[in-house]
Amino acid sequence: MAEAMDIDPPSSSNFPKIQINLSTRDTTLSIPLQPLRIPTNLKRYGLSTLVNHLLETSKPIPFDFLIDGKYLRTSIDEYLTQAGLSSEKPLDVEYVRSQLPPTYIGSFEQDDWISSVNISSPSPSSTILTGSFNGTAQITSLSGEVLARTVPMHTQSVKSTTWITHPGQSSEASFLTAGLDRTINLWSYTPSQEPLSSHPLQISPSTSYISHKSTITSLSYSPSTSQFISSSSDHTIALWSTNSSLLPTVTAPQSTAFTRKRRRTTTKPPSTIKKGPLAVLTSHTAPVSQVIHSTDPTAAYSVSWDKSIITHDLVTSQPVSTRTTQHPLLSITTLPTLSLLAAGSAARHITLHDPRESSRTVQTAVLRGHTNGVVSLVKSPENEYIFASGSHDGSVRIWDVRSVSSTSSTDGGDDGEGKSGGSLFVIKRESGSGKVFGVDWSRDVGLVSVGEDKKIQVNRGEGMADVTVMDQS
Amino acid sequence: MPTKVTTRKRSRAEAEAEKPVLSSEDEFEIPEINGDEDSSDDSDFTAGDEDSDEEEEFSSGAEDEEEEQDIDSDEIPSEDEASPKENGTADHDASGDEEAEPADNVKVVTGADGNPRHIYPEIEPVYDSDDTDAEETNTIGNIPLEYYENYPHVGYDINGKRIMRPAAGKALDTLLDSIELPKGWTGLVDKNSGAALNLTEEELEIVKKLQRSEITDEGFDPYPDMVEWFSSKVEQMPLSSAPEPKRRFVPSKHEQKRIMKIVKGIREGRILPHKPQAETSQEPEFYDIWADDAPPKPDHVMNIPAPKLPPPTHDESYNPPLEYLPNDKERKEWEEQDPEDRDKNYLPRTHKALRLVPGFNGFIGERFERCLDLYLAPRVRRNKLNIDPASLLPKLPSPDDLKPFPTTCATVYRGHEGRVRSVAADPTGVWVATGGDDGTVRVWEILTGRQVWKLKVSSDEAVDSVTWRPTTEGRILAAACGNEILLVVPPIFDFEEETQGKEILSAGFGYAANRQGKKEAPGIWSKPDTALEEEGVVVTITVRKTVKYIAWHRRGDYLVSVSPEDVRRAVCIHRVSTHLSQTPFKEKSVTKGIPQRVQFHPSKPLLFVATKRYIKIYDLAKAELSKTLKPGARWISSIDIHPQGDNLIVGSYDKRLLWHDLDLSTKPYRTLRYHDKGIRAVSFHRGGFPLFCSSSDDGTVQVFHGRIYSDLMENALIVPLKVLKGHKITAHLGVLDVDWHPKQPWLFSAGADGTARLWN
Repeated sequence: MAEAMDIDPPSSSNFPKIQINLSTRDTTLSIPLQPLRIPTNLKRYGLSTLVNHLLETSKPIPFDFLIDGKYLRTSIDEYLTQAGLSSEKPLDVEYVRSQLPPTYIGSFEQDDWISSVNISSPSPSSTILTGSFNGTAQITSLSGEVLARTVPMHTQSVKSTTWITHPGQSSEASFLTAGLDRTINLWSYTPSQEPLSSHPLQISPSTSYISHKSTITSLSYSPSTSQFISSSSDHTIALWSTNSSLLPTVTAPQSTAFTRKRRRTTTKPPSTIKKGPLAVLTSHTAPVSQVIHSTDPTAAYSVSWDKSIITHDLVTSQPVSTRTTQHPLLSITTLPTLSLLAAGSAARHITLHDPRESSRTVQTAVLRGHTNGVVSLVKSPENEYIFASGSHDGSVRIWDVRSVSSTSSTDGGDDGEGKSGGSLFVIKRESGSGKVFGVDWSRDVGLVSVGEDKKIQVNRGEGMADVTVMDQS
Repeated sequence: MPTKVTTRKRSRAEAEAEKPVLSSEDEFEIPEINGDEDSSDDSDFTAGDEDSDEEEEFSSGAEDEEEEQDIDSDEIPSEDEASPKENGTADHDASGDEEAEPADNVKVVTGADGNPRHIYPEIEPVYDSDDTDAEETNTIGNIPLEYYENYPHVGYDINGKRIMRPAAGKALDTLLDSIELPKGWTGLVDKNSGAALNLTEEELEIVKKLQRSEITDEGFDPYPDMVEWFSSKVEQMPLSSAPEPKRRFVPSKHEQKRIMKIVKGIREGRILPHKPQAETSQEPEFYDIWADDAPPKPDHVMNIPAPKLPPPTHDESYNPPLEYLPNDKERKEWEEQDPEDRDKNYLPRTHKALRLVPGFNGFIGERFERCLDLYLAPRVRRNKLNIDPASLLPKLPSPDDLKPFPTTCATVYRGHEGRVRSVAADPTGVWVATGGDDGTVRVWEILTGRQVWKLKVSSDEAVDSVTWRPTTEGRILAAACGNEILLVVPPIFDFEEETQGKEILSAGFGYAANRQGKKEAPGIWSKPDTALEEEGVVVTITVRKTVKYIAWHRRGDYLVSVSPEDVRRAVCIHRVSTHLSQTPFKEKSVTKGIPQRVQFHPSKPLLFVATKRYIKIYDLAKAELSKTLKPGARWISSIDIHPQGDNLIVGSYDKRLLWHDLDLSTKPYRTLRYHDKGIRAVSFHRGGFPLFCSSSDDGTVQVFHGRIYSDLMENALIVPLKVLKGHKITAHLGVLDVDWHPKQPWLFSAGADGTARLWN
């Protein structure tokens, strides 16, 4: 055993010392395993300086420190007192890159509640696709200009949107919208090169996809297979292809006198090609709230109000495995490098699951903090351990899956086994209140959330310098 | 005042008289039930070997009765208390009269007590006094007269002169006696004839009888032979037509009471049926007065032995270990203390040998104190039961174990102007419909709280009730506004479902046309005007008076409406497939009271009609009243039937939530009083969760766990879970309606503050 290296800053000579073992899961930042003796009055900043010194980095990287699944927010001395630990025992400290608190950048207002948000790829410049409760979708530039708006093809609210081809990838970008009127529409959008005039581009749909009998709750597109899947409140999941020739043509039953009379007031929508699905998956017994593609494009995960997470094989259209939790689930996202699924529930928490067949436990951790149903989850574009959640309680929270501990799981014994944790940051709505319906996170735009306050709110963790990390929760 | 006292006394006496009867009856049941088990005990008892203890019991029982009689007799003096008082005043008056005419020689003085006092003159023994008037009587003294038989005198007077013998007349008498008197001689002279008045034999007999105060009639028998009407002989015919009194064939309660007292004594061991006679030893009892312990006294309630003194400790030793010896400081401290404050009344001392220990100079004082302690401090045996009060509470599971249930407000549905009167969740669990005072029906998306459809039904009348047709095919919403019931297919559904719903509703139009011209139907089915038709309204049913509540039959073909204002046709059943309305109760007298709520039984052909005070269950198949529930509430506001159909909850405006088990009784099984104000709505969860809730004008919704066991012997388990607060009280109205999500443990509430809420 190596002799413990003695770190002795001049100001803290009279403080007791503690032996710590520094470790990290980030291979690029690893330091040789070496026990250190440090004064207990050190805080995060002191430890961060120490790690930077050990790594001999040219530019200091801010670090955060996890002890027993909890971020160190006080001095080590205070932590030991709180946890009732002795300073004579070596302490295992994990250091992670500091996640900067997302600061409020700005918000763009629309004329109705916004249900979903998608950020396009950054080249040439990111645009934000939003679906609105007034039945339209809208593309907004980062400066807040409305670049394009869909014609009112949807008779009712748009609940979900997704990009198919991002602007910049090809000459023509396309996206899908779906909502309360049970149809999915495919739209093409050609970004104009010259600066936009005052009125935005009106775009029309090319294809309508009809199968669902109730509200379509989510869409997911897989570029590698050119297929997309949609989930609906009618308990089904439908599989579609962007290649229209593969899909059967259907006739739209929209011709009764009843609906005609209703439609007469509005402008007549443009006619589109009506297509049916490749397959309909009927494994769920309650409204399906979200479906996403796995990293493997032939697999999909879906969550439903029937409390289950079902893994689907899209090739055979059969469910592969079903995990039943204890609460109705509203949202899901994958953390692929950790092979974890995060599912947001109507019971105000986020559960982490291991989707692999080999895992025994239903859930590995419970993350608590939201005060209403968690309806949107997005993983961090930068850090594989971090994801964000949007909830009906009007907040977006950022979570670190490393920051879970088994100690605090006693307060929620009903949620079964596993660990529990708290959120890293809380982002409130700048407008005060209102539900958050959707979040998206990209490297260059930041964390974008939309909601009942009719605003697209952009937050970004900026200022990589010496930021004091505060636990806002 | 005295009468009041007596009535109270009497009632107490009656209560005391009744109480033992009741308890003895209760106890009387026990030996009957246990008769087989301990028949030996009974036989012992029936052998009737009453020994002295039992006699005691009897006598004590008699005492009890006497006590009761005493209490009874107490009434009389208390009632008559007034009369002696009156007498007293009368006496006083009389004495006043006497005062008015006092005798001459009597002096009247006011006595020390304030009353007049008569002082009579003293009697002086002078010659004038009465004594001197006394005549001289025989002075011969205590000498028998026969001594003077041979002398002419019979004695001597005070002066020594002889007192001569008076004339005896003995010779004359003997002469007269010797003359025989004729029969009937009276010695009287008949004034009319002058002859001697003689009496006949009969007359003499009568006179004699009169002298003996007998009845003079000849042949009258004052003591005739008695006819024994009531004899021990059994007669062929009864003497009286009065029925046999009940006491002849009913076991005597008094005897039963006495017997039960003995039985109780035997059970408690106070009375031993075959106790061997205590051998009364002739030897005198001695005891060793020098023994450490007093002879054990018989165990008795009043005998509480004195507590023992604690044994001596180390510091009371004649040579205690050093650490027990006080140092100078402690000694000084002890000496300075007041004797009463000292924790012990000695200082430990050390002596080389026990024989060197001096006498304890405070011995007498200490004994005296001990004696004072023993007889001044009352020793009471406390009959305090050592029971943890918590253990007496019923064992209820913790609410945490009964999750899930709604705890927080998840969504607020804002949009209604004015009160939201009614809320109903769609059977698919995706939509929720509300109706309000602004005359609109609105449909909302459950989680987001987005209003997806709105129908303005009326500008001046409120939508009092909305409810979805409880079937999976065809989405039909029924809404009651004013005296109209609208059957709507909201245009938010899939085309197929929408068409299906409209077909179901339109199917009956032909029937309605065929029935035209017959007698006036209670409800008129008609097509709405085009403005409403475009909004999705398919049929309107117009009844006479304002419809307050509507409920669907589980199959969705029948719809029942309540219009409490319509006296004759308050309850109306509408059939969707034939567009016909009928009133199941022709007369108001059938329901007796204004119907408030009506519900169909979830599985049987029963109709529950809640009037203000009663809930009547009608069998629709047999067309008869099958049961009447009496919840005891003053004004029922709402009812709901458990999805299994055997239980019922009733909410009332007098703050009570009542749970009825239909198999148990017509009285409520459980009464829950948790609300501060009247209950407006109650609801059972129908999607598999054992939950129910009540909403009240105090602005809260209370959620309960109500589990029903399939075992019929086990009663329902009711646990209050959560009070949901959030609705604001507006104009003394709180939460007006509640409904459960059909599948999830989510709750919808409609408030008077213009919002509806989702709780999860």
